[in-house]
Amino acid sequence: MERQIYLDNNATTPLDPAVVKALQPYLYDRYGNASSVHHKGVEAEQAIDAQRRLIAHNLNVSPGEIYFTSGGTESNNLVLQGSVRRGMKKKQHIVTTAIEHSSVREVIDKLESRKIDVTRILPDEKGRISVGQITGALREETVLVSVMHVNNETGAILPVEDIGKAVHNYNSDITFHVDGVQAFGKYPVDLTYIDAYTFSGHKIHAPKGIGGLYIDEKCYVEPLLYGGGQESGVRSGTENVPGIVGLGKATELMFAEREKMLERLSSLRNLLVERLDGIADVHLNTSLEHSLPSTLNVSFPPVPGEVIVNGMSEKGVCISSGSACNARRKAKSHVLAAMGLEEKYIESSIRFSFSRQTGKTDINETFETLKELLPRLKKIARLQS
Amino acid sequence: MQESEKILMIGYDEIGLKGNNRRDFINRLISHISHAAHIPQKDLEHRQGRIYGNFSQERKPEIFNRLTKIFGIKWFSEAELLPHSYEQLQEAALKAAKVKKKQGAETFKIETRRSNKDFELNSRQINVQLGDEVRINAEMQVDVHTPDVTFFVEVRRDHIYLYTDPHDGPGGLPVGSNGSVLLLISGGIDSPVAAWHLMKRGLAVDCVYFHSPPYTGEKALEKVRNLVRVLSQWNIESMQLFVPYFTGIQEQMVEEMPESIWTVAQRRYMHRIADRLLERESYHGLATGDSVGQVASQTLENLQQIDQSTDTLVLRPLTGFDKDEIISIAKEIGSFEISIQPYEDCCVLFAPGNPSTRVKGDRLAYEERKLDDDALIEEALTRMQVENYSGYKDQYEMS
Repeated sequence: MERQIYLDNNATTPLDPAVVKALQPYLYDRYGNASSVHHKGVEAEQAIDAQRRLIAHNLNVSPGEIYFTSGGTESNNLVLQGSVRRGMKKKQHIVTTAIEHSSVREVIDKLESRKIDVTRILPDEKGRISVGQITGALREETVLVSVMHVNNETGAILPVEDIGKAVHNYNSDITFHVDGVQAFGKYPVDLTYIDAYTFSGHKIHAPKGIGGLYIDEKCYVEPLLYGGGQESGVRSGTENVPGIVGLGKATELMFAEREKMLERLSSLRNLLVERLDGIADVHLNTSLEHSLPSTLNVSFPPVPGEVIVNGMSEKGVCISSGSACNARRKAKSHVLAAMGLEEKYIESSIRFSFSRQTGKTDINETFETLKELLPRLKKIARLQS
Repeated sequence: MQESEKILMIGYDEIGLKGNNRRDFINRLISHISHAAHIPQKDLEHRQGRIYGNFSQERKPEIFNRLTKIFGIKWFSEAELLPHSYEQLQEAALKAAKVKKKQGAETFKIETRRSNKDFELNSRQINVQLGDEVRINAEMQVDVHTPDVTFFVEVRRDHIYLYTDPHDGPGGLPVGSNGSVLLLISGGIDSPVAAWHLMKRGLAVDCVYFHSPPYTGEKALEKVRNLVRVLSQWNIESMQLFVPYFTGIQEQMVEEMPESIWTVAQRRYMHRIADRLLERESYHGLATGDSVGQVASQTLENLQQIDQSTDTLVLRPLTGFDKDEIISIAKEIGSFEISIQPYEDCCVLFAPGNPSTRVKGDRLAYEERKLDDDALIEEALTRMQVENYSGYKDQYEMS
């Protein structure tokens, strides 16, 4: 396969060469354990602290509120499991949405099986969730609200800052968590009314296996992992120093280029939408006004999304049907289903997701490949009753 | 006392083995043990209905693991090799008993077989004397029905062998001793189990998987590769995987044929393609994971139509198995977890909603004439990928 076009950046992103360059010394010479007292240890500790300050600076919070983890899944688990008290006599209640990532959804399902009440807010047909829907669900016994910032399947942006403000107005004891994995570094966030914010490295051109979590200093989160007491005791385990350095560098690059990138991706997405418009039966599942321009979810009924993905893959173009994690479980997209989409649109949906590295040629070539592929697939799909 | 010599002792099932057949069986088994367990042939020897092997203790876990996957082996054990001296036997047995006692064994029995009639004691005398010794000095109780440990004593012409805890081998016949077949593998639960049963009866197995990109994805093919990797461990030498290009046939089929006969028609084309490979590679027959009545293609009427697409022998070792029996074997051989991964081997587009359970032969003949079969089968073979998986070697390599 000669050509490689990668438009599956919501699943993961390629490493940025500058990130590789920054972390490489920590794979070789600077191998110290940050807990060691000798100079090798200090060297590692200094590197970690510098990244913590850098990320805190970009999020406008204090360094002591940033914790490093193995990634988005761990961060979400840590804050969700750690902020609901066990063995409480009093009824506890959680508010979340029906469009969360599995690493939030599955944890909350688990908590629900332990007799904790859960309210899941459905989005409208454009994938939006309003502040009023969340506040309307709050109760006296609500202890936790968890809402994602940007949806991984549709790119829909949720008004987390306003939700946070409203939740805290209602009861400042409620922990308000935001899964920011798809937004971090791509879309601005004001953490004033947010108690916990999840982010991940590999969605922003840093390595897999590194992520982080902002936790407001006023919040207490029970650890998942106990041991050497690293990360102020919140997350024990020898720090992934090269990962942390990579995450720091990636954060720096993303925040520096964010506005320019959004503008550019917006015009790239518009270009793709414009060209797709010429194809019969195309259906947009992403609302262009209410989403991050790095994602475009569309359907081509009656062709199964997975078949389009396979066909594009043969031609060297990587896209996705639903979210990558869902594809493995062969589940129909819970996000599109929650939006009330017709079955035929859900089954035939595909997702293009762009990154800083995506260019105009990628978009044009992807479109041409798709245009060439679709008629044949449509013919076969139509013949099946 | 010096450390006694340990030897590997392998038993096989002799029933039904005569003359040349027997010699071929034993030679094949020795060569399989040598190949799969990496024991040089010179360290393996056949004597009096057993295969003996020299091996180093540090390789024991690896060798034992591999012996459980060599068809033809009935049981195996590590035995102590002793001279023809009752005193030394007693000393060794007592030492072994004390170890077992420490490990928690409370009851025991002695089971002696004597083929060397010159030895001072007969089997019964050994059982009694040695039993007393162990009972008194290792403080264990005799239990001849369900002992915690059995001490096996074999007094043979060359030595006395003492062993405990023989391990079960997989039984069956050495792979290849009955010829070779080409199995139609699908990625589901059944066909790997069929492969295992065929190998157990001494057939060398290669696989053919019908790939139809883009309707079936690379992940479905990867799943089949992983199944073949697991199966190839039992196939001793290596296992080939043929991946013909099936898309052309399916696409034309959907356009030209009524939906109700797709299932049977696809299977007929698969068999015809497999038959071409059979001729080319000289297999003795085809095989499938069908069991009767599970799905539409497995009614007797449809199986008959499928079989009439070629003149070749088609083996279906799972006929008569229940699904739960198949699943339990799949779990045992390690294919189950791979098979249940959700990548479909057939795209929903080619699976009719309401397949006919009784497709008529003249109907098939009529419908099939609409397809450009020769060209399509030729295309399936020209665009075929051929891959080779060799036992343990490929298990950890990345492609």
